[in-house]
Amino acid sequence: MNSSTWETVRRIAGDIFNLPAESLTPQSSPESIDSWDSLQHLNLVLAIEEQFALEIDPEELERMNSLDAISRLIEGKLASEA
Amino acid sequence: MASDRMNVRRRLHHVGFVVSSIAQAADSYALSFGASWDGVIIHDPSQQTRVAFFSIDGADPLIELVEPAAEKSPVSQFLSQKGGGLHHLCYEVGDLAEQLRSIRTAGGLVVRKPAPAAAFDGRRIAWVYTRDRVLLEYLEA
Repeated sequence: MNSSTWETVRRIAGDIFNLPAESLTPQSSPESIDSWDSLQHLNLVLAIEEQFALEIDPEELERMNSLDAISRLIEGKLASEA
Repeated sequence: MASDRMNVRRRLHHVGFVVSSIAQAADSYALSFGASWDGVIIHDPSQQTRVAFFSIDGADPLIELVEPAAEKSPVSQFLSQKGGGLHHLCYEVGDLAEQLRSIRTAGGLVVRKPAPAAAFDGRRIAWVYTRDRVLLEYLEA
């Protein structure tokens, strides 16, 4: 996983979930973060779209079930656009 | 009629509220909004919800009560974490595809692609989350 992508995802997630970024790991998920509910998930996706200038499809929303999955999805989309 | 529907550009169709039980909440909502209910509850398996519509003086918009129909219903988390309440606005639109293109251009997120909905006799709905953090439902006219 690209460290720059990961650090950006971690910072955004920390802001959205109101948690210190350092406390988040690639395995962080809705199961491990109480404030990661369905609406906060959408807020996270909107922030990621804005930060990385990406468009997330409805099918991809459900696959974004951990910070690791999100980072890898972003990297895949950025690579396909390059 | 189909031709009339296509003339509908966009109108507020209903305001959706999530409740734990339509049967238990119906009287209170009817009283609060001065609304009437025909007693019909519609189960939509694809949405994993049951819904009921309340009319205020026979005019738009309607009030929609939504209750989860499954443990993993899309509204279950909203109910458990927010306690239910005001959930979404639904607009009836003449051109659903064009509306989704427009909201995407405006930075909105398409949460669910258009799909038939039992609550609207199979007419298609789509879900969008706007950049202003508002959940919108679009109903094809």
